[in-house]
Amino acid sequence: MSNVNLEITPANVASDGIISYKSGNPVIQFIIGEQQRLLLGQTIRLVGKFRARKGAGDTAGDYVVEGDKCHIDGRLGIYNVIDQLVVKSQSTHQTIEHIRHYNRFCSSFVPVLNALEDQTGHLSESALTMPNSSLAKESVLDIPSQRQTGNAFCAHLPCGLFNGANKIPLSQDTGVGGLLVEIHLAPDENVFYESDGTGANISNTFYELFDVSLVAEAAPMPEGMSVGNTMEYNSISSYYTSVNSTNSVLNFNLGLSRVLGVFANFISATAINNLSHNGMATGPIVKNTTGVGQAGIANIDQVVFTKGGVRFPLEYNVDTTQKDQATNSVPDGQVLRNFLSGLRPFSKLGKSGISLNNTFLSKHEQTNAVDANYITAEGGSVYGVGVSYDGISGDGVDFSRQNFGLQMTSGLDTDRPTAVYVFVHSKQTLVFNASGVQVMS
Amino acid sequence: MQAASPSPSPAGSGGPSAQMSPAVQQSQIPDLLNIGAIPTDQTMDVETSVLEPVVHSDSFCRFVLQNKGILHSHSKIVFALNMVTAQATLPLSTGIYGLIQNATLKIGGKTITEIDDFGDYMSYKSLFTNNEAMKEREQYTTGRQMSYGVNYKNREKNDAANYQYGFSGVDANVLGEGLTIENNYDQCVSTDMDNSNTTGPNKVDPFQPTPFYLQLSKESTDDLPTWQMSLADLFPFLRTNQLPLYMMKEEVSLELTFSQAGTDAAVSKTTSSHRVIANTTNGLPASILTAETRMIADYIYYPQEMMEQYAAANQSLQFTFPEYRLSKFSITGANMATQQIRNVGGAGRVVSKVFFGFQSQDRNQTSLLNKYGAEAPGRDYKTGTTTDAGRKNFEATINVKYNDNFVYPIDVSNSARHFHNISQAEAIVPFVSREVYGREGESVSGNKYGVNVEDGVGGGTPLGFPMSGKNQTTALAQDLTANSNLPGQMMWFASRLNKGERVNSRGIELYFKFGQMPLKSTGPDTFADYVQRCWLEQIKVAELSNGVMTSYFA
Repeated sequence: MSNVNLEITPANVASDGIISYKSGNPVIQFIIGEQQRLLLGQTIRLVGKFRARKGAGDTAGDYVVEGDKCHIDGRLGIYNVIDQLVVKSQSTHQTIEHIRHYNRFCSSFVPVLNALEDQTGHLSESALTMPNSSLAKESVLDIPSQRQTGNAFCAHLPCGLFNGANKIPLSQDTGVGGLLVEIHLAPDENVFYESDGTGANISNTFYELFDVSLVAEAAPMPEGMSVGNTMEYNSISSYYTSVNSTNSVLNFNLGLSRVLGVFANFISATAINNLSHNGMATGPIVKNTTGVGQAGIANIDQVVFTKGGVRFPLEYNVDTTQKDQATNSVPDGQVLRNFLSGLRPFSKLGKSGISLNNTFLSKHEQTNAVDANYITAEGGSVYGVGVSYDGISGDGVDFSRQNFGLQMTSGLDTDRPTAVYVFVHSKQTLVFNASGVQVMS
Repeated sequence: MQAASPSPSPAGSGGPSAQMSPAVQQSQIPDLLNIGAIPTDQTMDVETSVLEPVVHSDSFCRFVLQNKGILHSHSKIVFALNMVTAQATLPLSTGIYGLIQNATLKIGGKTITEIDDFGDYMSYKSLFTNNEAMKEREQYTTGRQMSYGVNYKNREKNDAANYQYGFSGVDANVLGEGLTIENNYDQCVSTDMDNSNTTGPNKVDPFQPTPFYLQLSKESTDDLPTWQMSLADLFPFLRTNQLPLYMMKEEVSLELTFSQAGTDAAVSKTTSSHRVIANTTNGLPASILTAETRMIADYIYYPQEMMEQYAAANQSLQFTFPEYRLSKFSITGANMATQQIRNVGGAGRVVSKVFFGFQSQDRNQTSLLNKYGAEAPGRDYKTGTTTDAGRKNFEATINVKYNDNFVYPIDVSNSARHFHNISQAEAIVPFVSREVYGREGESVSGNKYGVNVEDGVGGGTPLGFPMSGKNQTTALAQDLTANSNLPGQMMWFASRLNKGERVNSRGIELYFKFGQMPLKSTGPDTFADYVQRCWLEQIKVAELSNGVMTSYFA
């Protein structure tokens, strides 16, 4: 037997093959049936075409054209539309991996782990990225062939199971019994935003996907080959909370025994699902919308990560530059370094799209002005906090019995709830046998 | 490299000193030829020789290596071109590799490996050199400069698209007008560059300049740039193996056949230079400055005893390597709109991948990439309104069949999936932008790439190559050769033959259909002619036995 290329069409596609959140079809399901093969996770790609529309009809005014004011986050491209990614066993429907707020995860993942050249280059072809707001609009949203052929994409779905080097056994007896991949689409209001901060001109804008499929390559499972009944993989878990005080305390029972790293990004809660703002922006915490630049930013003065109430892994408070110099808009080096390490240990960080041009403290929400994230160079602001727990052994740290904690002292002294999306990178073990699968966290 | 079989007695090679010491086990002798870390601390000496070609003309040259030491795979061959009389530089995607038509490695008069249409082959391989390397290294060493950067609108003075260098508006340095070539040189403006200055003194035309070190029109031969290419580029198997010249009894020679130099007649397929680009009406011949051609050969030496032990223990060496066999044919653009099935060979061979592209015969030295592109299907972004059925990106539908089975269960027509298939075939992503690959979207700047001269008085007036047809107003004009030099110019296709089977006697069949290729200027139904170049990566075996090298297909 030899390797085969698989092409799987959605199991729940409408008769016209068009998928959109607006039309009440927010979940795309792909079934990779059980078979005597090993799925090569790194070859899985979501394939299809994307187009942006302004109305449900079929007139020239129903498609986004040059001159319209709608934008998407250029760093994310097609990842803008993926709200959740769920991978289940097809035979038992037991969940193997579930990443909520997937687009928020990608809004840190893409710019931190891909250089600008990657974002203008190969990712522009595969995932429709373009790290410049006006260029992203020109390239993707303004495409004149919107109606007929749209924007073709063939994007990898970054997640622990698919990023791993281990092949995924698809058989029922010695594997996961096939896979059910679900993609939950994001609301249109969290995908598009208007460049002048009002949202009034794009109230009917929505996106559509068509010619959608999932492609992958599978290798034969040699007869008599024992693949064992366990498989280790890295996983992403996501958590959401909001903060609204100068002393922000996050406390989660992760229930994970091998945590490798944690990172979090922020956005004002009012900017989520709001056509006036880029819902994928990852700027600093904002306390009020008046003024420009650093004015109105709630500087983070101190960051402390805890485990079971004790400072860990840094056994000291990280006091930022802004604690002593409130008007210093240069990002704090230690906070930034730890944030990057939360995604990938700093020593292993190769390419990155991070620079002073997109990490300086500049407000991404303003009153009656262009959204600052729209005009920030190099894809927009990339801000967050994070920490790596294990850059040496790769086995991670046990959070199964002790809570994870993040304490931040900030200048958030106004009533402006800020959403915090926390992503935890951990190691998990998948145990499978004829009766089903079990995830050992 | 590895020993082919249990080694026979070492008699007859290397004399008594070459006998393996009884105290030395074969496992203790490091693999000296395999590129990578040697597991023990060793002294390594590198001797550099500068070799002149034994034969050199403007169409051919041959280097003969000395049979000593181990040849370092990244030894370099240096070239320079003579001065030209007009604004010219190297093709942006292939650089100096466009000089080579054929590269052959011969040992003892036997061809061990060769690549034909080498410049076109390197056009494909250059996809995998990342943008950072193009910008920071390759433009100095090989003349390639396909790095993309954002052309910021802070140079725009007002909405009427009048440009002024360095103008800092309210959206300064954040809004991109399009992607441009990023070669460490800032965008320039030139007043009345194209004699179209009819609207006033602020009417200026921005362009991306050629770096001075890539300009071929110089005041003195002494100022001419030189370029280099490594042996591992010419003969890819050297990326993983090194040649043990000291173990060879036969003469090792490299033969390079050069591409068409061109003439100064009106530019056409037969008169155009394949070595340089120059946006001139008449051809600009580019000859080789033969005095600069030389090989800088590095020979590696380990302690003599170890090299002798290695030779004695490996009197019969065998290694496999990929051999790239070219198959090409011509087809008109009109015929590409119907289903084509083409047998590209490979019968009876072990073939690990195929890659191919369609190259327009209308592309020549007046194009930014010269002829070394791979044309994507056409597009129509101008006809009617958004709902017009004619407004579309035409699709390329591809499949590959061998051993009675298709590689893809459904024919592939999604351009991003074609791109993905290249990544799968090469295990690395192509570093090319979306519009440049599949002609989708309008992300490439409508500005020009200006090639300048060194004339001692400020560089003269650059002759520009429009990067894209973004500013063209009709569908027909948008992607004409003269108006559009980057969009859809790098649409290579690749497919990994993943069954692990020897190809049967029927060979490999390419199934392809292109919705519509770009039109020529002379009418609505006129198409360029194309050459499909398809390389098959076939597995070949080389054997070095008692100092004599032979090779055969696996």
